[in-house]
Amino acid sequence: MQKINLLVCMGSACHQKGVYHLRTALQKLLTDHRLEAQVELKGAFCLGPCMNAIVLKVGDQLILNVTPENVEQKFADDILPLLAEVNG
Amino acid sequence: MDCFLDIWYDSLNKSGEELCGDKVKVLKTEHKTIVVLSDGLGSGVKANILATLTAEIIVTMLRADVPLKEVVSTVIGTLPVCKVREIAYATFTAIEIDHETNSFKIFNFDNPPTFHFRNGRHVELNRTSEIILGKQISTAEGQLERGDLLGVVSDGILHAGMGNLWNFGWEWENVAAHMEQLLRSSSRAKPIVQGLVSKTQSLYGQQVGDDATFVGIYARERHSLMVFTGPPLDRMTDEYQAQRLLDFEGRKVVCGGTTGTILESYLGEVIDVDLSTLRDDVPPIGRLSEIDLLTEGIITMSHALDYMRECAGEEFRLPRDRNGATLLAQELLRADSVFFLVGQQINEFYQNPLLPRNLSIRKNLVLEISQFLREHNKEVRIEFC
Repeated sequence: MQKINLLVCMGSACHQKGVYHLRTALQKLLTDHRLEAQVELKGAFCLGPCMNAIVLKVGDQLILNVTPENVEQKFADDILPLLAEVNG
Repeated sequence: MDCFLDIWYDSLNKSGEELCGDKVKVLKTEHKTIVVLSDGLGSGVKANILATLTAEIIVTMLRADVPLKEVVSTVIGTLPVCKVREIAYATFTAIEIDHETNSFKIFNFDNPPTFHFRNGRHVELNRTSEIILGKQISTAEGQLERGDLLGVVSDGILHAGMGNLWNFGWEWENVAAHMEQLLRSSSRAKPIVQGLVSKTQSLYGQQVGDDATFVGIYARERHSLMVFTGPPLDRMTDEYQAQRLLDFEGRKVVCGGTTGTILESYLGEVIDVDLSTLRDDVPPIGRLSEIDLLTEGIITMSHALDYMRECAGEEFRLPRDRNGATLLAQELLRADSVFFLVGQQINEFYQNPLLPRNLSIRKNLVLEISQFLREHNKEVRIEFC
């Protein structure tokens, strides 16, 4: 089965908002949820809506305003359902 | 043939002197390059002032496009003559090189003859002698080919080793032979000149007997670099500007997320982000075919400038870490001429007053980098779009 890409924006704005730490947090969440085999965490160049940094993308869906602080909430509320949707 | 004039010089001060009595001035204008080496009589403060004065007069007049011959006669007419020794207070070599034709003219007043190397071998310049205001001036003309090196010396170089290793120093012919060896080992002016000057120093041993200077003018292949940073104001020109980058003859760098995506869609590729280069303070680089380096914009450029300042423009002193900013600094420092194509579309995000000021304006950052590069002998061109 092909892995699902979870893209993390690495542009200037997202970098300023702490994407370096977010990446580690996301990797850990994927491990905790045993999703490593299905989901590939990848960097992307500017995904566009810099005002809503940090920006993630699954399939063609953007997930906005993610920060290292709210990442667990966002993961449960937005990211997991999207991953399930794409997977399904 | 398009050549870059790679110029480097280095001096040794006579032992015990704080100042060098030799003075080198280099001036590059759009059309010509001027190099002057003046050797002031004696050593220390007096020699330094005389040499500086002489070099400064020559460069200033040549900049104003006064013909070289007229400049020489003005300087000879003005130079004071030492009452005790009855010789002029400063000698000089002035070289003018035309950028269009690479032809050069040398006027030499009492300095050792200038060296000319072609294909790594020393060749004799066609010297003639002229009398200007009663002084004998040696002149030479020629045309530089790629790979040629002109070496201008003060007599302190030739006298090294005098009285201990040899009766008369290592002399002109042996300097030429040593230069041929050095030319085999490098294709940049700096290591060649430094090699020659450190050899001179070792021949002098403990006691440097005279101010010694070597100027290397190396006509070599130009290392060109184009940096495309920032999306153009007019979206309709995105593709045109992207094509200009792809057509550029030299290294190609893109700095900026949005700029990267312009190239991404123009090339019909997907940027491959190299997460191994992600750092706490520097975003990662990406990969696209045909682009030598693709980085994020403002943060990376700002760090690259810091790195270049910290290492005083010396590539080998850059931090060993492989990240976007060290790689960008490396590209910039390796280039002889840099062309910045700067898109001026404003990213709303940077209007945020909470951001550090130097992150807010791409234009300023590019201007600061350009100034640094110019101070380090690089040709810089900026175009806004």
